Amino acid sequence: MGDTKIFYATDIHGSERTFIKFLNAGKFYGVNVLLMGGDITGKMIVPIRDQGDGTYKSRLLGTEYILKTESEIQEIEKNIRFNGYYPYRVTETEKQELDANPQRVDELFSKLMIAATERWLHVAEERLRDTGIKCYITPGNDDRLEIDQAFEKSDFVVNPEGRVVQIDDYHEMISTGYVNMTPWKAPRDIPEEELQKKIDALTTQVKNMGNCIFNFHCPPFDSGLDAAPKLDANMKQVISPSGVVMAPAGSTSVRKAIEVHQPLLSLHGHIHESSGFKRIGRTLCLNPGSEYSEGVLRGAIVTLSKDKVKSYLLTRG
Amino acid sequence: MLVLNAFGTNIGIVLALTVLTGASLFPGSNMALAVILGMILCVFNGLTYGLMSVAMPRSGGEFVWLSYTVHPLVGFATNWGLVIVFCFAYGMYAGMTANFGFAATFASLGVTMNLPWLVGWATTVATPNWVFGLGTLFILISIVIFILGPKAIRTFLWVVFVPSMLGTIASLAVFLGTSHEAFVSTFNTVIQPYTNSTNSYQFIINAAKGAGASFPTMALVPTLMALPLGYWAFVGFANSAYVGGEVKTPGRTQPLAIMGTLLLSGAVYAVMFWKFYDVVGWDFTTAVAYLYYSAPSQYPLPSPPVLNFFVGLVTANPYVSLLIGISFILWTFMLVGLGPLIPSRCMFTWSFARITPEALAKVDKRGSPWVTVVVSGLIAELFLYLFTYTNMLDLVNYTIIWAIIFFIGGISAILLPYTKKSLFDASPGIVKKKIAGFPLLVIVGIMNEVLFGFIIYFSIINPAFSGPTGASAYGMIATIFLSGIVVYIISHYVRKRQGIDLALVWKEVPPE
Repeated sequence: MGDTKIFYATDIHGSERTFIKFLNAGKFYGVNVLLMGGDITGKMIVPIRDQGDGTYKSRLLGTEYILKTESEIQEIEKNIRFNGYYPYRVTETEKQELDANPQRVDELFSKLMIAATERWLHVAEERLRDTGIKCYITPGNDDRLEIDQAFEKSDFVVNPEGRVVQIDDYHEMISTGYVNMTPWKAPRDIPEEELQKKIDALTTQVKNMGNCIFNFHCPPFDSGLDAAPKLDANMKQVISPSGVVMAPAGSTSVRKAIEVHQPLLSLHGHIHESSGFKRIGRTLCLNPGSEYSEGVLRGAIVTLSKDKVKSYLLTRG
Repeated sequence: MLVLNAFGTNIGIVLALTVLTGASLFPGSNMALAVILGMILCVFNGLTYGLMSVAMPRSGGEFVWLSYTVHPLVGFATNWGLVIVFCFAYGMYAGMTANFGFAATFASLGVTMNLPWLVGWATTVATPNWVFGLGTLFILISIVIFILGPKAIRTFLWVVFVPSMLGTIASLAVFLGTSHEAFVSTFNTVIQPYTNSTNSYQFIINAAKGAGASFPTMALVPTLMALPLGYWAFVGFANSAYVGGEVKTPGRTQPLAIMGTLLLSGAVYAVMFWKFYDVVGWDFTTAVAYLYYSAPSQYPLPSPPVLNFFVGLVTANPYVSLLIGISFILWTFMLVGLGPLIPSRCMFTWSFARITPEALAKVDKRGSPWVTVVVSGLIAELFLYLFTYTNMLDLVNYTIIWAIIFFIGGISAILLPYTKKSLFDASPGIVKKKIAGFPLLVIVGIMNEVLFGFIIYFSIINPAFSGPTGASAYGMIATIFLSGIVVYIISHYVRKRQGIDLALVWKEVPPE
């Protein structure tokens, strides 16, 4: 068996531009495995409002658009998706109904999110099926549990959450997109003790830990890969006379698992601004960070030989 | 960031040196006007670096920008030159804090407070072993500050900035409240022991005439000739561009910090220099500059002709005098104290891009890139040694190297909207502004090239201003940048054998 080359990216938060780049990265970087580490879905619906006179109105990134033709509407829909949001055409009546009923907005959001994820997985299959490139996508803490059903429909893209997958003849990978509790109480935030149990359940299944890859969305605590602005009780950044106070936001369970089991490689995301690499014992830990809002796909190309990380490179594609 | 950039321009040193240096190099030049013109020219450099920092808010400055828009080889070689120049300045200022900051302050305070032993100390701290010893101590202090992490650096910035600025404000206030007649009277009284004349003021003018000085009137042509000095006064005002990754809300902070520093320092310079001519006198300024730079054996004053020396003479208050003196030392020292900042961040970014070894990207628990901090300090120590004990650094044309770096850096602004269109399109609105259909970024980038093209040309034809020219000096410049190219090429082949293509870091994956 030759070397296995992985491209790892994470935290694209619904940005279709960076997702397409992720799929194209397979051929572009010449890798065998594409791996997405979580937080793939968007955070907001952008309405495209039917004004009743044949025109539509929408607002994207602070700019208001009056749309007169179908092609203009499709163009704005593409731009909305590229920036990580979900476009939705809405009449004034429906808009008023939605405004009056938050539950309906929530249901609509889930529906759009699942539909977008299914479409992405379909595109992935179309582009990658005949290339020999494997594709793994793990949901992250910000991704609602409902999107797992989209993965169940795909027979090409693998969701490796909560199980051991063999990415080549020598390397097993265990994955989880769950993280320790964040101030936002996201769908896959769980207490540290529960996260510990999930990780323990995975590590016991690994046959050869020395060659194993940890694909954990949350970075290890106090590793330099998890430094985030500290927030106060009102969710505002804590500012001291010497500037914004940064604090480690990673998981102690993840850190402990790495220290105890010493896998070959440990891949993380979650904290966008804390990209970098760190060695914990023999384990190389990577967090490529995220700049999805700028349309930049940050990632890591990692080349694995039989029992070592042959090389790695953090990219800004 | 404003404070960081204010330190970068080093307002105190510029105030201390510029008028007299201008009078020596460009007789007849009005430095108050030259700095205003220099500030206008620097607006384009400031906008170029400010907008690029907003478009790509990452540490590394032109290394990142050029790597994206041109090629990482160009980005690295340019940034390599920058790091060498910064380390050179770091080491040199460590020495100058002793033989210039302390020496001039001791001399000034010794004279004004009538303390001969302090004047003696001024001579002592300027001897080579003291310069090297104190310089090494200052470098060690700076390393400790940076290893202690961002909080310690910010604390250092504020602790040093407040008294430095207070001293500068005090200098300004003293000059604004002093008449020409009062200055002449005080000068004649205090300096009498050094000239043995009851009219020391006239004595100095006569001595310069006797030594061959000419006394041109203030004119526009020499002022325009002094423009590179007017530009030099602002070098460092865009330092925050190199720590872009550590700046919160760069879209607002970077332009504000860069342009704010430019305008603030420009206003302080212009007022102070105008008042200097008014209080000290035009012919006297010319005479002192001529004697110190062209006929040093006939220079009678116990201190170099720095602005704070003259300010110190006219204040009768010893506390104000002491504050001005401490301020001058701190302005010199802060360049050493902040010495590791930009080299360490740039080296860290190189390692991140895998050009240099992984060890250079090590950070400690405080988030400090301690390895690159120590490496920066060691390189500075080497430069301190060369500065103190050899003449090797006399071959370094600091001005031309800076101008080349900024010139090449400006290319990235011109190319960004065309070679990295998607990145440009995804940038904040301020970066995408257009004037008459042309991106503002391209316009300011072109003006940046005009400015630095002029600086490079002028520096070559006027070695008196820029520093050494000729085969050896150009060889030194070529060596600095070529060594960067060689390092990159070696790294390219080493990484290639490991299966890494360094260029991939910066290549955009097709988005369609």
